[in-house]
Amino acid sequence: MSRSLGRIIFLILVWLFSLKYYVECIRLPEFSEKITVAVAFWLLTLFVGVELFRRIREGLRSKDLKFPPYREALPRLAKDRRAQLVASVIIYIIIIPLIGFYITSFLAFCGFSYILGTRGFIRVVIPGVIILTFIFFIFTAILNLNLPEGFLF
Amino acid sequence: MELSGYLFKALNMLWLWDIPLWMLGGLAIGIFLGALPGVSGVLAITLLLGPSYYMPPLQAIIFLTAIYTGSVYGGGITAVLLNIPGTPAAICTGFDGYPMTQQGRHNEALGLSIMSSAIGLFLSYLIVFFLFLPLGRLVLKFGPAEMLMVVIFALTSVGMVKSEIIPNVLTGLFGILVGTIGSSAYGHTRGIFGQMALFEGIPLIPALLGILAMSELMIMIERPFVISGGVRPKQDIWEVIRGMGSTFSYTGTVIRSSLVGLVIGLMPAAGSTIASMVSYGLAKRVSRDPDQFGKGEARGVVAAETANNGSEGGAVATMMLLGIPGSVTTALLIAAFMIHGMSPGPFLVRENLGFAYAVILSQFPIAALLLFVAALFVNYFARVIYLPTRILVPAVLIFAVVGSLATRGLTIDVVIMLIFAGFGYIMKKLDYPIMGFVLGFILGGLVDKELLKSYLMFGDDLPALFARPAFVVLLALNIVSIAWPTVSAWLAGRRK
Repeated sequence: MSRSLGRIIFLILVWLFSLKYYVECIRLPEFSEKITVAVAFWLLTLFVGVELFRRIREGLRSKDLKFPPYREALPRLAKDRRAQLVASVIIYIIIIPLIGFYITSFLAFCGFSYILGTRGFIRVVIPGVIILTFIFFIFTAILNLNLPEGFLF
Repeated sequence: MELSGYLFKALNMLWLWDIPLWMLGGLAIGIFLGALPGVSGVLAITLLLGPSYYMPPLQAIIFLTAIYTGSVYGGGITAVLLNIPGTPAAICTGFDGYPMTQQGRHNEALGLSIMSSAIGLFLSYLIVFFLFLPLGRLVLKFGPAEMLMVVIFALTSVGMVKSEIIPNVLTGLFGILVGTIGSSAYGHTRGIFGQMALFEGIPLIPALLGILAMSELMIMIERPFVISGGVRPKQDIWEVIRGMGSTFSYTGTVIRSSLVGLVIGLMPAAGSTIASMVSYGLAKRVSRDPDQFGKGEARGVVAAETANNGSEGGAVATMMLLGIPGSVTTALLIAAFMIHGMSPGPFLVRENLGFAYAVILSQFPIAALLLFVAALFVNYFARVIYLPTRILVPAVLIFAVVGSLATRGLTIDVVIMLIFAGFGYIMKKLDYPIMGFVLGFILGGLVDKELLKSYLMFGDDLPALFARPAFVVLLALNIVSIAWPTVSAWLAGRRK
């Protein structure tokens, strides 16, 4: 996606989120509890308007307002390491409360390393063991931090 | 209570066996990560903000400020050795530091940067130490309307300093909106999307971890190493120590640069990068031989390093006195105060002045320890840049998850971190300033509180506000800071 188009979509999404929040806040009973949101929203609307105008003009001048063909974009996204990493982080977050922090994190560390190009059993496993052991001693043993425990550890 | 009373109280607080250990640990982590280009101390402080919740408040703040100090210095190591500044504040260090490396004088340059950093830090905190009490008494006279103006000034001055006012103010306003999510002063919920975990607002630590640390990781994985290429020059500790000693040949530059650093550090949003640039430019202007700058002039390294570390004293003073951050790092320090139940600004001055003095006093031993840690281990810190991202990224990712779980242990905090990571990554890719958003997000709650109080006090009698001199001065400053980028661009256009 072109940068100009990306900026325009970003600005619209930011404004839509702010609008939803503003609409929710103006229903509050006291005027003084919605004043900050109202002022910030209307000022934001003004600045988003100016910025959108600038970006659309910039995009039109440079002829840079094209959507990428989705048939090419989707396979490219599937091969993208960042997309793979984000997908594995989402799976990691879902599994943490089920299995427990330490085992999930160890598996996740190995998975992340593999996605980023580390190959070989020892090179994948040993750093994971070292880092998780370090986290256990510092955060659980010394700082008594409560990390999620599932049916394992 | 007078200064001596606070001094005694602060010394009493600092008299604990574990304080030097936290200082050493913080410095080592700060230098280590500060030397990583694109990572800097922001990542280190963000990652350790969560675990610091479990430390006693003074130890936590000292630990985080030591990381800050270490990272500002650490950024200069790679600037000298490879002309790749670890942090933007070290850009000017490389102007003369790298030519010195090319001339085989890298140990001297490293020694100069170590000693200049320690002296800059020491002098700026020394001045802050004496000015803090009178400035604190002045700040106590500020009411909600003045505090609101101060907060708005902090937000608008980002635009003034960075010159791009629209994107900065836009992201700052969006940050304010996001920062007000949660319950209102009357206990009604605002924008919590049915999640009661957001009743007290979006938790600071997961949000900051996402937008600052995780978004940086997404960019970092695009390359196999933190940096590629470069040479590894031979290190000699004795030459480094000789370089440290030679800093005293440039006393005038050291004192001038410390003052420049302090004054610029006091200004919201200016920060260490601008301090080092102004100081470097000034050193060049007053030099008898300005042509030598950029060709390995030792004064250039001294001016840049003294000022960027000197700015820290000013930035921390502004942060503690007014509760407004001068940079993302000081914004993180505000978050650290908040998670320990303290609110920087007039409240801190009124309720915890002894604590504030303990933080200031702790910076003197940190400056001394910086000399030893940096001189002994500079060689090892310089090697960090050769760490492959395939190990660094998964490790930091796991630490970020631990950090986001640290305060409440709720899985939703990890989800919040991920959402903010995506938002931060998109902002970085589209060149929208993250600093504006972070300042707005952290100050959003404060804006809401001060605006509410001002409305309740002056809602029916707005002209009464203009009878308050401090309010009028701050309002004028805000108008100037909003109008300045447009006016300066117009003036520059007319000159052409």
